[in-house]
Order: sequence, then structure tokens, then C-alpha cells
Amino acid sequence: MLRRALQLGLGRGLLGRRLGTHRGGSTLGKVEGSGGYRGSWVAPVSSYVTFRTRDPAHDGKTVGRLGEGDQNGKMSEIKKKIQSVLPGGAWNPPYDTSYLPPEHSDVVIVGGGVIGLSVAYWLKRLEKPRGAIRVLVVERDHTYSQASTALSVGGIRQQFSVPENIQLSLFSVEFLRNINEYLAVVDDPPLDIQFNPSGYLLLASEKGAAVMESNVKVQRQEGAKVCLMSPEQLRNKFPWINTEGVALASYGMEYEGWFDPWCLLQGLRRKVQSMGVLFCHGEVTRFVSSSSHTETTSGEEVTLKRIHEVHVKIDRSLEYQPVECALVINAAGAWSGQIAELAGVGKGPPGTLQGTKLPVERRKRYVYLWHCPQGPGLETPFVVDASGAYFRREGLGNNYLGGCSPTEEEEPDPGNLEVDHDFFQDKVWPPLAQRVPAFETLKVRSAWAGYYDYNTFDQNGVVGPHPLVVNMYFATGFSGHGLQQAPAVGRAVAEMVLDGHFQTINLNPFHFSRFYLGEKVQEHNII
Amino acid sequence: MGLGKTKPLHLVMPVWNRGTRGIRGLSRAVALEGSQKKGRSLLQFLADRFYDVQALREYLLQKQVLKVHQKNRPFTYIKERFGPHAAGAYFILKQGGAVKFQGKEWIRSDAHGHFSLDFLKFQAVPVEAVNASGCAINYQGLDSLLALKELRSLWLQRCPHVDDWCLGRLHPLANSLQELSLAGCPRISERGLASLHHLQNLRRLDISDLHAVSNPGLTRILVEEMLPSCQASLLGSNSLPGPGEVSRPGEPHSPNPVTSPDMATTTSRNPALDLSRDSKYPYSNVLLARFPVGHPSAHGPLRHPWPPLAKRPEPPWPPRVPANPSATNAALVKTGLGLCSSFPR
Ligand SMILES: Cc1cc2nc3c(=O)[nH]c(=O)nc-3n(C[C@H](O)[C@H](O)[C@H](O)COP(=O)(O)OP(=O)(O)OC[C@H]3O[C@@H](n4cnc5c(N)ncnc54)[C@H](O)[C@@H]3O)c2cc1C
Repeated sequence: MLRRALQLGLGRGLLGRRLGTHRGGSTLGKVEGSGGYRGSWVAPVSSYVTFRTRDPAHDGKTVGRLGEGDQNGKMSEIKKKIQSVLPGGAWNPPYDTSYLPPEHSDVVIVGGGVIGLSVAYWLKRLEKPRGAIRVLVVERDHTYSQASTALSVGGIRQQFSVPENIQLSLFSVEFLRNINEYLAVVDDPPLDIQFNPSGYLLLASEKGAAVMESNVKVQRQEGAKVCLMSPEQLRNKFPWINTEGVALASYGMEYEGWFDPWCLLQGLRRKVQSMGVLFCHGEVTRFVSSSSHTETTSGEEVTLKRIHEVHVKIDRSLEYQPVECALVINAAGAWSGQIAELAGVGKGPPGTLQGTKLPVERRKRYVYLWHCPQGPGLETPFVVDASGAYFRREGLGNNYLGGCSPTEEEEPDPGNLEVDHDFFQDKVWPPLAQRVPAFETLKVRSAWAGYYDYNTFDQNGVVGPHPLVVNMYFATGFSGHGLQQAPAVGRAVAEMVLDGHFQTINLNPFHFSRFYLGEKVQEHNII
Repeated sequence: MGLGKTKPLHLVMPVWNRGTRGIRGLSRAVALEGSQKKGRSLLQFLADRFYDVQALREYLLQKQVLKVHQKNRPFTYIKERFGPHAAGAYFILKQGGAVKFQGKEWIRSDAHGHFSLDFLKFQAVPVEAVNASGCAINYQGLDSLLALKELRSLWLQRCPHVDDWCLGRLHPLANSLQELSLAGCPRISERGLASLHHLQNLRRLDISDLHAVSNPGLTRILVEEMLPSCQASLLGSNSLPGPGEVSRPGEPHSPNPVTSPDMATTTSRNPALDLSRDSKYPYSNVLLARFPVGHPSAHGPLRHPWPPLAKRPEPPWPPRVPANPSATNAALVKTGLGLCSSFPR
């Protein structure tokens, strides 16, 4: 309180500035500031950082400078102001503008889901010195009612086919294990991530056995604790499984299982907030950018774009605020395709880099929760059948949850999040009942649907800057494994932003240009 | 990054920069001006120090964590020189626990933490029992234990840093481990216990006084179902030897006293072990952990006013349905909790 009072008191011409700035576009601060800004932006990615002492509370509108000459004359006035602002004082700000985002932020992160918050966390954690960059997270829905993070089933596994995915997941599991060291906030209780170290059990038919074997080899090389099991061993270990049609199974002994995504989200939010990241409840509706023309080495003419302003529309209001920024991070999950389009990605003749869209779209996925009194017990891992149907235990009361990804032709309309119960009857239940005969009698208790941030190109993440919209960075497209990779992806993006290249895990294969070049990073284990 | 000097790099709002720096810089300016604004410089002082105090506390928090890590670092030299068994024993003794080599007496450190290094000569003799009760052993420290391939009994009672993640990695001991006591570990929940199904040779399992387990009666039944040849104990852990009594080898545990079979007694807590009162580990209080954030007043006006936390979106989540209470009771009646009172050898 004292601190705020002081800021207010010392802000010269404070009231005037507030009135001037609070609605709409042009502001004093911006005019003063932007001269140096627009002209001088030539530096490589790592050098946009501005230095500032650490101060999360400043919102740009309340800061003033100490007057140069007329200070003594102002002192009594300032004192009065301080007095009136101190508790019990009569000062009322004419308008409350605290809900508006700041007018300037070094980095604007679009989307406050687990990926966006993780990027914010790592940016703040890796910045040097502390408080060097200002980070703003724009999230349009604080209830996260449609965000994939809150609607996921929280699984984490290393049983992928692409080494990068395995590494990301291994990093993340280490993060989750030490979550109370990474996300510790003084005076706040420790987080309980509710990790179930129960492992994933992937089943393969004869056709898939060879692929599974080679995948497990890669996984072991990367350090995952995965073992192969024959149908015989499978029967011994999990007598409730019908091994008909199963040729091989791979089972994660460690680091795999499921956890509470909501806890991770809240933990990140709490930590990031304490580190001085700003949040804004609003929707990104527009980018203001400039373009310039260059030639590539092969002589092609390309248009480079740079985003200067992000327009944030305030929730349930017509009001919007332009936020001047140096960098935009597209972490809008299932909606990141739209955000990319807003920035002009994919607007160009087809077949060129300019005309290459971000191939990330919403795909609706159902999750059903059922009760089965005779169902498998406490040892139940996260089982993924060769048919693609999966289930896991939920709590102790013989409840299970599971689902299945539809085929390309059966993709439901992603317009809303309504659940199709016939899908369970037709597509999920039959394979599961065949695999686990106990599931022949069960009762569906509830169900929900969520959106995969589905990469139609190769079902893998898109990480790093766009080659043409030079200051838009992607962290999206994880197609159903984004939650478990979020801690690592956040770090990768932060490294890219701060150092200009990846350091911990090399995610160069996940660069946007693969869509143009047609180089798929195909992940076989998509659930 | 050292870019402070390069002017053009002040890309975003140089004015703003000066302004903020001013908050700290001001105190200097004021001091130069003289004493007339003493009150203000005091405020300034406090405001300045606020971050320092905060930084200091963050530092102390880190120190605490670091201390546990320090205690759990592996003794690679001993391992290379004297083999994994000696290294494991050394690690446990250093931590204040006790170890028993096959066919030898229990070894433990004295009140000052000293112990004789005679066991380094045992070399080929494997460790068969470890009592690490009350030790600061954590996930990392388990490395030393997992190398003990012939470990038959393991006591990890009241270990503050043993959690579900640790249980998830006990599977390398599956071939040898027969007895495991986890009584009173404040961070172990039913989620970790589920991963004990790897330990197929387990005969006895003490899972009493686990405050993070939400449903002890049902959990015990489910654990017994999962490990059919094992007896899981829920009763008070008084009867199992603590580190002090361990020096009586060979003596079987006195059977747990059979008390009234109702739930109240089975979950009654030994006050001496009740770690949940020590509010350092409020893990049982899941609610608190779930919605801990953001009472804005707690941190003064310096926090950005992020709107109050939304509850978990209702319809789809939580899918967690509480364990069916009637099923629990029925099952409890069926088994009769008295059954677990004596361990068959
Ligand atoms: C049914 C289901 C099960 C899943 N299971 C798993 C699993 O087991 N393991 C796993 O790792 N992953 C799983 N996932 C995937 C995982 O949930 C996602 O990959 C991950 O949550 C993506 O996080 P995100 O932050 O990118 O997206 P989100 O959490 O969706 O966050 C994006 C946010 O951006 C906001 N936003 C969008 N547009 C705008 C805009 N214009 N302005 C402002 N804000 C905007 C949205 O409101 C949203 O909150 C599952 C997903 C589903 C649907």
C-alpha cells in the first residue's frame, strides 16, 4: 500500500495522464516511447530486452518521474496527494483502469493455458537480470471452460516414437517431480500434483509389433524406463486383460502415469504471478504490423512482417487496448490457427512459404467416465489398446475414464463441446470390453469433450519463430500431448527468445518451415 | 546479456524504464537533497527493502531444499572402491539409519552420528535389511538403496521426503523385498501405493498413519487385493521396531494388538507420529493445495489484480467421484479389520 501510495504521489501530472490514457489508443507514454522503438528495431532476436529494476506492480499509467526543477514547489502538493491516498483518505481515482493491459510489454503471450503460462514462467526464470523483460499473458477465459488444459485426462508418458517427444516428456516429468522446487512461492502451501505413478501399457497387434519394438528401443536410448511384455507375461501381471489379438505390449515402469492438470495450471499461475508477469482478461483480436521486402538467397522476393501492436479486446466490452510489444507468442492451443491467420500467416499464393498456413485446428475428443464394480484394481495402468481406445483408473471407487480418437472421416463437428454418447456405444466400449471382459457391464457416469490442438500435418508440436512474421513465436499443435510437454516446451521457447537458439532440448525439427518443405516429423503414438 | 549500454536496444518505452528505475533511484536522490523528507525516505527504505526481504526468504527456501539434496548425494567413491552394498550402508548410516548385512549384527551410528567403518571390509556380503526410519532420504537418495539387490526388509517410517514418486521407483527391488514399512510417511498417498504391485514378493507391508491417504480402510483392502500374498497393516506402527530397537536382530515383530474392528480405532493416530500437526506438510489438505492462490491482500497491493480464481470448471471436471462409501463399509465388514493383525512368517 505504501509503495503504491508513493508511486501515485510522485507521479507528476498523474491525473492528467490517467485521463489521457485510459480509453483507447494514443497515449503520452507511447508517443514518447515509440520514437526510439520503431526506428531501431534491427537487432537479432536476443537483443530486444530492455532493462529495468524489478517491479511487477507497475502498470505504466502510474509511473512518473521526479520533477527536475520545480520539485520544491510541488512538494506540498505531493504530500497532500499521499495523505489522501493513504488508507482513510478521500482520493478516488476517476476511473479504474486496472483491468486494462499495460500499453507496452516486451512479450505478449496469447493464451493463458498451460503452455502459455509455462513460456511465461521460463521467460521470467531465465531472464537476466531479474525483471529485465515485461511479460503479459492475455487470456480470454478465466474459467478455462473450453481450454484443453482443464479438459485433458492428464496423462504423461515417454512412449513416443520421435526422440524429441521423449526428451520433452522426460524433462517435464522431472519438472513435475520437483514441482515444489520450481514453483515454490514463499508463504504459499506446497502443490499436490497428485501424480499416479502407474505407467502406460501400450498394446500392439501383430501388425504393430515391429514398430513397437523399434519405438521401445528409441525410448530406452533416451533414458525412459520402458519394458516389453509378451502376452504371457501380460496375463500374469494383469490377469484381467484378454490378450487375444495382442502380440506385444510395452509398459512404462517409471516416470509414467497421470496427474492433476488443474494443479499444474494453478501452480504455474501462482508462481508466474509472484514473478511479476502481468495478466489480462481479454481477447486478442488484431495485430498491427509493418512489412518489408527482401530477397532470399535463391532470389525469391519475400515479405517480412513485424508485429508492433496487439489489440486486446476487453472481456464483455467494446473497449480494446493496443499493447505495443516486441514479441508475440502464439500459445492459443486449439485456436492458434486463428491467431496465426490474424498475423497474416498463410495469406499468400498457395505453395509458397507465405501461403503456408499453420495447420493447427480444433478437433473434438470425448472422454467418458464409467463405473464398473468388477473392473481392474489398483494396479491398473493407463491402458492403450491397439485399436486406439484407452482407459485409466480414476480414484479408488472402481471408476475409470477413457475414450478413443475418431478416424479422419468420423471427425465430429468441432463447433461445440457437446458429447456424443453413441460414440461410446459404437467406438469406445466394444474394443474395451473385448480387451477387458469385466467392462462388459459398466455404467457411464459422466462425459465431457475437449479440443485437441491438432496438427493436421504430422501431429506434432510447432515450436519457434515464424520465418516470415519474424516476431511471432509458436508453441502449439501438440495434438493431445501438450500438457505433459508444457514445462519443457516453455523452456525451449524461452531459450529461443532469450538466446536465439535451443539449449536444453533441440527442437529444430519442430520448426514451422517443415510445413512448407513438406518434412514430416511423424509421431506414431498419438492417442 | 550485457546490453545495457547499447542505446538502440531500449526498444520498448525508454521513458517507462527511467520511471521504474526511479523507484529505486529516488532514495538516492532524496538522500542527496538532505534530511527534510525523512518520513518519505523511510518509506522508500521499507519499500526498497521489501524485495530484499522477499529475495532473502526465497533464498532461504532454496537453501532448505538444497540441504536435503546435499544429504542425498551419492557416495560414488565408496561405491567404486567398496561396492554398492558398502556404499548403500554408508549412505544410510550417514543419514542416521541402521543396516544389517547378511549374517551380521545390526550396525547403527551412535548419538554423535559416528559409526565404525568395519563394514567396508564385508565387500561381498550383501545388505539384507535397512532401517531408514526418520531419515531425510528422498527420491535421489533412493539410488543408493536400489543398488542393494538382496534387500529383504526396508523400513522407511516417518520419512518426510519419501513420496509417491519414490514408491514408483522401488520396482528394481521386486525380486528380493519381502518387508516394507512406510508407516507415518506424510507424503505417501494411495496413488503411490498403487505402484507397489511390482513388488510381488512382498509379505508384509505397513501402511499405517499415512495421512495423505484419503481412504485408509478401502486403500488397505485394495492393496491386499493387488498383492494377494501380502498382508498390509493399517494399525498403529508402535509395534514395529523403530531405529532405537533395531539392534535386536532376528526377533520377529510382535504382532500388532488387535483392537476393536471399527474404523475409528484403525485410523486413530499415534500423537507422537502425527506429522500432520506439524503444518509443514499439509498434504492431506488437498483443498488448500488446490486453491491456494491469490488472496490479493496477502501480498499487499503489489500484485497485479488477477481476478479471483475460478473454480474448476464444473461439468466435465472433476470427474473424480469419491469412493463409494457403502462399498467401503461393506468390504470392511467382509474382511474384518482384525485379520491383518498378525503377520504370517
Ligand atoms: C480430451 C483431451 C485429453 C487430453 N489428454 C492429454 C493427456 O493425457 N496428456 C497430455 O499431455 N495432453 C493431453 N491433452 C492435450 C492437452 O490438453 C493440450 O495439448 C494442452 O492442454 C494444450 O495447452 P495450451 O495451453 O496450448 O492450450 P489451452 O489450454 O487450450 O489454452 C489456450 C488458451 O488460449 C486462449 N485463447 C484462445 N484464443 C485466444 C485469443 N484470441 N485471445 C486470448 N486468449 C485466447 C483460450 O481461452 C485458452 O484458454 C488432452 C486434450 C484433450 C482435449
